[in-house]
Amino acid sequence: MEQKISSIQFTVLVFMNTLGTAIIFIPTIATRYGRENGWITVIFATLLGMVFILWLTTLIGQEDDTNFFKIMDNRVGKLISYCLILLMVSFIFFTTFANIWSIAQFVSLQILMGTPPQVLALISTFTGLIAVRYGLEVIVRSAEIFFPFTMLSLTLLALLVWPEAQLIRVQPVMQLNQAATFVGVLPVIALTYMELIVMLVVLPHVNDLRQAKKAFLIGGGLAGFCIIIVTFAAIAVLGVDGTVRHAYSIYVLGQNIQIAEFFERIEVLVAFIWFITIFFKVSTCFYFLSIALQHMLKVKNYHSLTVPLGMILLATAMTNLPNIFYDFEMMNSTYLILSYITGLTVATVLSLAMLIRKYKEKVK
Amino acid sequence: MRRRTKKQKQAIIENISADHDVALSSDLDENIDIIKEMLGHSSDLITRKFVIGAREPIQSAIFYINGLINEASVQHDLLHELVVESREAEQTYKANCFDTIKKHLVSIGNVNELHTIAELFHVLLSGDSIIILDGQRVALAIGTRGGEGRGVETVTSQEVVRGPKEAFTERISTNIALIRRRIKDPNLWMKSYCIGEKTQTDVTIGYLNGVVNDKLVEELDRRLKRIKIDAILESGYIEELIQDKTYTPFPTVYNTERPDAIAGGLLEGKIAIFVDGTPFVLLIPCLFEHFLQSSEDYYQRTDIATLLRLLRMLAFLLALLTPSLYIALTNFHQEMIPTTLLISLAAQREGIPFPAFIEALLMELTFELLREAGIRLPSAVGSAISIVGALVLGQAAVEAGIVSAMMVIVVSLTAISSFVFPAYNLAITVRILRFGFMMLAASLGLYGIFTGIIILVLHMTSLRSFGIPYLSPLAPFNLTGQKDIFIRAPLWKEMTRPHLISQKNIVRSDSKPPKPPKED
Amino acid sequence: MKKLLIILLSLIIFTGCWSATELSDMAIATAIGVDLVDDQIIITLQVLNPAEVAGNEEKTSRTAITNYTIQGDTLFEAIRKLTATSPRKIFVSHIRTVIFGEALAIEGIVDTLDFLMRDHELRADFMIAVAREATAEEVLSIMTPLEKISAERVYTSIKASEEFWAPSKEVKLNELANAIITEGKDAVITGLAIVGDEEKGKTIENVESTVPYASLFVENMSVFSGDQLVGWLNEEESKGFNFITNNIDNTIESISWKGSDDISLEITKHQSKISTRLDGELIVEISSKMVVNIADVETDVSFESQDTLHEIEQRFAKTIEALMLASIETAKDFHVDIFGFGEQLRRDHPREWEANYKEDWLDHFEDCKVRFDTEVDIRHGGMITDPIYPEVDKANGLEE
Repeated sequence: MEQKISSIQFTVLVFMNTLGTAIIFIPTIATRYGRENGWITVIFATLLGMVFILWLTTLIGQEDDTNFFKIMDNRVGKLISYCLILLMVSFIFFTTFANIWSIAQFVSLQILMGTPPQVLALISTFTGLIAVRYGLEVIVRSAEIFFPFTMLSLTLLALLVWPEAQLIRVQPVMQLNQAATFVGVLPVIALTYMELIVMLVVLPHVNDLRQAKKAFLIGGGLAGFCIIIVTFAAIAVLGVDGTVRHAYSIYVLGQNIQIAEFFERIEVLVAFIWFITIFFKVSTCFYFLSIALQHMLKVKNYHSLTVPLGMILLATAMTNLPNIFYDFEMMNSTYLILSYITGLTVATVLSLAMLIRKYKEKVK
Repeated sequence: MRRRTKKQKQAIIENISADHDVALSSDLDENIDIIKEMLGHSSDLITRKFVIGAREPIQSAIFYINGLINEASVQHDLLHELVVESREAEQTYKANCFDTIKKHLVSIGNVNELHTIAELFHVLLSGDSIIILDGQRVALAIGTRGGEGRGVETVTSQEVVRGPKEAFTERISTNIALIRRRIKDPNLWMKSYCIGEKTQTDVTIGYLNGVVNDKLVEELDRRLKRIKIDAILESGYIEELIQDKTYTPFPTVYNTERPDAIAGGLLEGKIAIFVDGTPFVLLIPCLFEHFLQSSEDYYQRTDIATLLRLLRMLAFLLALLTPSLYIALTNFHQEMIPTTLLISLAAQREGIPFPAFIEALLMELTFELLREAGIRLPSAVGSAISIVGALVLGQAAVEAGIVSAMMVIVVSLTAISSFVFPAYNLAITVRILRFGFMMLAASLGLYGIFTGIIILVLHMTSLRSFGIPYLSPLAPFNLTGQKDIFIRAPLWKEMTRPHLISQKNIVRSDSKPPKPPKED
Repeated sequence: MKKLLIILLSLIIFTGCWSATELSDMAIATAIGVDLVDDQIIITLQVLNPAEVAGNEEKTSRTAITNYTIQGDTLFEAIRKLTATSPRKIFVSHIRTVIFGEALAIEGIVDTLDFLMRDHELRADFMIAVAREATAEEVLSIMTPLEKISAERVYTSIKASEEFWAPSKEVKLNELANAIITEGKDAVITGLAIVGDEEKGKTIENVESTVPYASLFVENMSVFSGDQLVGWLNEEESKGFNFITNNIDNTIESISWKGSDDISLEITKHQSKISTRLDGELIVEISSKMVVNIADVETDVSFESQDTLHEIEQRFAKTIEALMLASIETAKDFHVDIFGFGEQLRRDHPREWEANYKEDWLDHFEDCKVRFDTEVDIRHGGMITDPIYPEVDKANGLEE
């Protein structure tokens, strides 16, 4: 079935994919590097991320197929395309199970103390599985439904912690740690914008491609803006040390809300934001993997691949990440490298192929 | 003409029940025999032989089913004319007898000629009178449908404070008339079907030509024609046979007994399905938003209507989630309850023998029992039972220390919220889902509820009603559609028909906002 | 699809419930007291008896709170051990107050802090206090009138005292941890003392009489160097500290006019700001603005003349400055920078801070000069204009 989505839906999906995981980890990571300038790190990362998105949007032209992998085949030939797909699949696979595992860890640590994370990982994989079996259209439509609630929660969070914020905590602005501020941009981008190559598989489905490019930028920009605000709030409320110290600093930020003896203890807002965004991230990645496998294995319908894929994801998540410290460690090393290699290689190869084709046409 | 033997007649009868088309015989007595035989000599079949005309008398007979016809019209307009008046007339009837009878004798509007026995039975059993003449292979069906039925009464299931009070009845013609009376437009087209091999139920679809999406009409036509069933006793049968998806708690066909709601739907480009024998008329396509709207929204001021709609959304969430949130918070997330509230809850729960989940389950179950009992009991006893049940059970249970007071509050809140919906079938949906959410909450707390909500939304977005996404215009998002979802925009604000349902003729109102007269 | 859902649902139902706890199976803890006796940590946990606090059932004569005390090598060990004594699972998410015994504070509180921050059940919104000349256990054992839960009583009275009296400060976990870690700033914690007969204060009789035998008193501030208690500020110095750190909402201060302390002024608005200047040497400038009302006049003075008002304003400014100076001097004596001058210097002159001051900041702190710039503005003088004092004097004189 031909799946068509609108540019609004695409914006929302990009937004969810950028925020997933990032919203909870970026404040800590950025602040660890940039100290008081953590939020500036995120600003730079967002700007660079927008450039990357712009680059990604040039990779798909108007005339192309709706299946991204067929587009790749046409562009760069079967062999190179196969290698690229393999690279992307390994990266997205990594992202997916890391996401599944991190939400499971978080829930078993903060929300359901004592429930084994394995069960929680199972449940998140299951929800992702259901979403993928329903198809892309259903995923984006649900994203549309949840988008206003996510924005509302984010706005509430930003507004309600405001009374606790002290602007002196973000001073001095850009005086110390300048080098680290810029170095911090690298891991921040890896966790937010590099992962957006997963959207390449969705992009051809948008019914108006020119609008879609705008939508890609808006979605990414909006998400970047939200992360900037949250990072700023985390530093202003918790202080630099407070932000770095806590593994889930914006959850602690949520715990700090205390207004009128009634609006208190609503950190569940944060949990909600994270659940929703990570769910869409996992579903999109899952969808990407299913389509990629379908293409590589030349199966007619991707539905039959989803269940075994889910099982593999789950098993990998359960066995590969033994504890939370390892998770953080990995995010800063292996993940970082894999993320950049995949993102940049795919984008470069596809651009080159495009340039060469244009050149050939000119010569003719 | 040779008369058929008894054996031959028997063969015809058997043939008819299997195969439809058997022509009428030209012999009067044979026809009479066949008809009587086929109805098993039922006592409510009235057969009367008589002679038309004095000069060249024609042997003829009239059949009708007692109770299905309009007695007065058969007596005065039919029998009197045929038997008495025909004698006094000068004419001969032998030649062209049907034309003459039609033109001169029968003073009833609806007269049809019938050629086969199957046709004859269909109209006979619908309440028409049949006249057959000796030597003719054609029968006349005279529209004398009538008989006892309920008149137009007030609405019982979707009451409003302001707005029309009349409701549909069991008779399809009355129901269609109620709509015609509201939309006097030649473009209001009706199309009839006869569904159900045994019941031969009249099903009529109505739509506004030029507004409705033609593909939708075709699709409905296809789905209705696909139905092969012996009986249609209520519009629920049709609903179940034409809906997009069976295994879903959400209704994808709307039903109502309010003519104004149907008229409103037709004007939005939807199709109404009238089914004979039930006051509940169906409307398709049906989106989720319809269940949270009442026709009164359009009769009240816009701000009031908007507030009421938001209230209904809140009620939907409350009815769905209150018990599960209570379970999740008290069992898993005590740290999220403000301290003083927690202390008060803990004090109430001292000495309660059941876990919160079981307690909630018991109370919800009791409430469902009460509600069901209240419906089945005679109305005089019903209200008394529910009040007594709620009060006595609730209060006594709390005082005995079996249930906490907070739980009674939670259950009452749920109950009240579930009565807010204008549509009863959504209330049932919510009842089903509520128990699912309670289980999720009892096993995984808020995480379970979140997961449940995600799966629920996924399911809802995957639903379609006749091809239209169930949650539109929220998903897929459509800006102009928002004027009639959470808010009810003023009527003069360039109202348009719903985007996905109707693409033609979309502007509904072009009036200017009201202004005070200019002062001189 | 359906099968998947069914499997999922049954999985959830059969696997869940690991972490469920019924409200009636848990004991809600409201305060933790930590003491150090002979190198052993002693924990006092105050647990609620909910039926006595809320609910409409018949109240028994049992107290609303119960204290459990246990000792262990670490805080976590001690809390776990408590489950043996307590009949129910102890639930610490609703802790309102954490109190350190003075002995423990002198030894260092950082080990305790680590647990308080790391434990996922604890939330960071409780008040922290130090028991002065007492153990935390003793403080938590005092029965308090009006407020049945003494932890709650400590919480609200520290808040109220910060708002209306000024020599105390509400210190929460995150702030305390930041103050201990941050370079160029040291921590302070409000103190709590027991006034009266401690033994009788522990019994329910304490709340049965109109004048309690013993009550809790929000003391002044304790000063920490690193995580160790080094001394106490007195009331004046505590107030001075709050004046410097912009932590005054509303307080009363008196000046001497004809006699001693005969005009009292109520500060209704206060705003202060620390800034640093480097003109060859380090100068700290404390500029504050306040709006005051005349609250109590016990001398013969007429407010008709603007000059008098100016005079009062100026004298008042001097009084406040004296308070601030006193607290700075004390801090210098203790060798701790509780005001965050160093932190401010880092903000204002980050490079110089990194280069010259960071290493031996406390020595620089002791040498730094402080300049005050205080603005006082009298808004109104209560319900009456001139004092009634002179008239009364005259009347008294006539009788003589």
